[in-house]
Amino acid sequence: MSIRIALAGNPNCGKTTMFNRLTGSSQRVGNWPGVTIDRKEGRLKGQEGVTVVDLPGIYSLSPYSPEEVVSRDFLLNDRPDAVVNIVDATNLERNLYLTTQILEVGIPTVIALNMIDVIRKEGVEIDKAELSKRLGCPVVETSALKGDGLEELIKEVMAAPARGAGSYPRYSDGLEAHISKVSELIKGHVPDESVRWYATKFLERDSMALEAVPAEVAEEVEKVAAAMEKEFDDEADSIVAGARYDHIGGIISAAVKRDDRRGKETTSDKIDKIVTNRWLGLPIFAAVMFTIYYISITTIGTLGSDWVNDTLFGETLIPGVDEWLSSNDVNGVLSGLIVEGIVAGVGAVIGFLPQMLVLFILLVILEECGYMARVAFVMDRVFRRFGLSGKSFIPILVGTGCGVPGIMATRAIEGKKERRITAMTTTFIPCSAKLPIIAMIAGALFFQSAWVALSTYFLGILCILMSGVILKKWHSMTGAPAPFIMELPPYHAPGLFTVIRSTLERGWAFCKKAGTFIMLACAIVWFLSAFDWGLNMVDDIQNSMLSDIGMSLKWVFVPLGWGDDWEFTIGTITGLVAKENVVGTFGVLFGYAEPSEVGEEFWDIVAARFGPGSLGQLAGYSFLAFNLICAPCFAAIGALRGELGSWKDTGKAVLYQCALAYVIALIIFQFGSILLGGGFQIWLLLAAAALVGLVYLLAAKDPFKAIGRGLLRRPADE
Amino acid sequence: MSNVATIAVGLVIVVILVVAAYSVYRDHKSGGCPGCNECCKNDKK
Repeated sequence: MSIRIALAGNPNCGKTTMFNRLTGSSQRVGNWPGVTIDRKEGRLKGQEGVTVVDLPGIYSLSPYSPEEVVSRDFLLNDRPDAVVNIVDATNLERNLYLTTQILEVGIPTVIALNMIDVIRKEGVEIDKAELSKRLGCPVVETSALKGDGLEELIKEVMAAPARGAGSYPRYSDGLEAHISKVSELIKGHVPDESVRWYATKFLERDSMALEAVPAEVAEEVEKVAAAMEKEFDDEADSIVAGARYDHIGGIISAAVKRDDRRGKETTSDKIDKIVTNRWLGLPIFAAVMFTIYYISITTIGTLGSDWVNDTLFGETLIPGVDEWLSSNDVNGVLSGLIVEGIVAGVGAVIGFLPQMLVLFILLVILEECGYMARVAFVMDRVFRRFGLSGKSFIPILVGTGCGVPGIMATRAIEGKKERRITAMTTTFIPCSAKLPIIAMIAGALFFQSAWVALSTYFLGILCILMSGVILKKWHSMTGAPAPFIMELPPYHAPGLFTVIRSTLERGWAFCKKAGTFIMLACAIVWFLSAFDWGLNMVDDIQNSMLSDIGMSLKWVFVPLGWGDDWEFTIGTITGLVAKENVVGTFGVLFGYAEPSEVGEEFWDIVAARFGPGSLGQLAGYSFLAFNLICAPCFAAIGALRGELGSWKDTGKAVLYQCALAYVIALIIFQFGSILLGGGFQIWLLLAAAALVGLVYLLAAKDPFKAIGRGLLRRPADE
Repeated sequence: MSNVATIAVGLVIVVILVVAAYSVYRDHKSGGCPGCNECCKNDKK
C-alpha cells in the first residue's frame, strides 16, 4: 500500500525542518520569495511505501502567487492521502487562516502544532484537546527543531486516511446560507469531496476556481455573491476572510490561555495602533516626510550644500583651477571645457550631495526601524481604491533611491496587470537623481521650503493613483489587485553600521554618476553651447548650436510657462538621459563657474529666468512637475523594457508618462496663473480641455470591471 | 610652455573622459546598473 502525505503550512513555520526529520533528508529545501518553487518528495523514515511531499510555504489557497498555485493544484488535483498542516504555534491566528482552507478541501488532515517549546517559554498554554475538537481533526504538539512529538505525529498521520476527512469550519448562519446555495449550484461540476472548498472560493470570486464551472453556473454564483455583498454591505472576499478570522478568534479564545503575552501589548503594538490608524496613518506619514525634507533640504543638509557651493567650489576649486589654467597659458578652449563645462556642470550637481546624504540617512533609518513597512500597510487602503495594492508601494519605496531597482522590484507583485501598472508608474516618485532638481527649484524660487519637496512626493503618489485608475481601463491592464500580505516586523533601533553603509553606497553611486555620465553630458552640452554649426567658437551663447536646437523646440513648452527660455528646453531634453543632467546643464548654461557679478549667484540667475514674483515661482513649479513625472532616465527606460517585455509597450508607457507630465504641468501653470492674477492666455483653453480629458479618463466606466473581478473570462486572458 | 601645458592638460582630460565613457559603457552592458546596489540587496534578501 502506498500513501502520500503532503506537508503544508505558512513560510518559515518549521516545515523544511519537519520534512528533513520525517524523511531523514539533509538536502537543502529552499523557499525563496519571488522564485517559482516546486514540491519536494522523500520517503517517510521507518515506513514502507509512504511518501512525504513538501509543498511550498503559503499563506492561503488563493492563486495570488506561483507558490500558492503549486500547493493548491497539488491538494486539489493530486489529492494526497493525508495532509500534515504545520502550524506555527507562536503565530496561531495567521497560520489557522490557511488551516481553515485546507480543512475545506476535504482531505484527512493532522495539525502539527509546531514550535510548541517556544510558545511555552513565552508563558502561553494551548489546550490541544480543545483545539482538536474545534478544528475537527487531530492536533499533535511538535518541535521539529528538537524532534519532539514526531512519533505521535507519524502515528496520527498513518491513521488519518482510514479515519477520513474531518468536519469543516462553520461560519455565521448568514454566510452558511450563501455557501449552501452555491454548493447546490456547483454540485456535479466539481469533485464531491471539495464542494465546500469550491463554494467558499466562488463566493470569494476566486477567478481560478471559477474556471472549473461553465459560464452560466458562474453567472448564477455571481448573483449569490452579489446578494451576499448587499446583505453584509461589504466586498465578498472581505466577508469570507472576516468570517474565517471570526471563526479563528473563537477557537483561540477557547483553546489558548495567555499568561502575559497577548494580555500585554508590546511596544510595537502600541506604536502600530497609532501609525497604522485609519485616520492618523496618512497625516503621520505626511508629517514624517515633511520633517525629513525639512531637515535635509531646508536646514542641516543645506548647511553642507552651502559650504560645498560657496566655499569648496565658489572660493576654492573653481578660482583655483581657473587661476592655474590661466597662469600656465592653457588654451582657452580647453580652459572653457574644464571650468565652464566639466567643473561647472559637475559642481552644480555635487553641490546637492550634502542634502542628499542627510536625506539618505533619514530614509534608511525609516526603512531599518520598520516604519516604512507600516507605510506600505497604510497605503494599501488608499492604493486598493485605485486598482493597486500596498505591494505596489514597495517598488515605489525602493524607487525613492533609484527608479531602476524600483522598477525591478515590481517582479514581487503577483498580478501581471498590477505589476505592469506599477512598473509604468514607479518612476513618478522622486528618485535621488531628481532631488537636485527639487532642491534647485526650492532653493532658487521657494526660499528652500521643505513644502516643495513634500508636495512633489505627494504629487508623484497622486499621479500613481490616477494612473492606477486610468490604466486599468486599458485592455491589457485589467485585473483585480492581489491582496497584500506582509508581516510587520517589530520596531527596532536601526544599526549604525547598516545606516552608514547604506548611505555611503547611495552617496557613492551619486558621486560615481556625477563623475562619469554627468561629466560627459556636461562636456557635450558645453561644446554645443560654445560653438556654432561651422565649429567656430562663439562669444554669445545665443549664436551657438545648442541655442538653435533649443529655439527650434522651445515652443512645445510655451503653454507650460517656461518655454520662452530655450535653456529650460535643453535642460529637460538632457534630463531624459539622466535627471541630474538638468542641474548639470543649468550649471553650464547659467554660469555656475563664473564669478558672481553684482551679487548674482547661480540660483539667482535660475530664478530670474523663470520670471519675477509668484508667476515665476509657478513657472518653476511647472518645470519641476514636468521633469519629475515625464519619462525617466535611459537606464530606467531600459529596466521598464525588461519588465514590460517589448519596446512597443515601453514606447507606449514612455508616451503616457510624457503626456501625463505635460497635462499636469499645463494645468498647474495655466490655472495657477489665473488664480495668481496672471491674466487670460489662449493656452488656458488647452489646459481646460486637458483637465476635462483627465477627469473623463478618471470617471469613465471601467469596461473590464467584470473581467477584473474574475466573473467573466476571455480567451485572450488564458 | 603654453603648448606643453595645453597638451598635458588636454591629455589628462581626454583620459578622464575616456575612462568616464568606458565606465558608462560598462554599466550599460551590465544592464544599466546605476551602481546603488539596491538590486543586489534585494537579491540577498
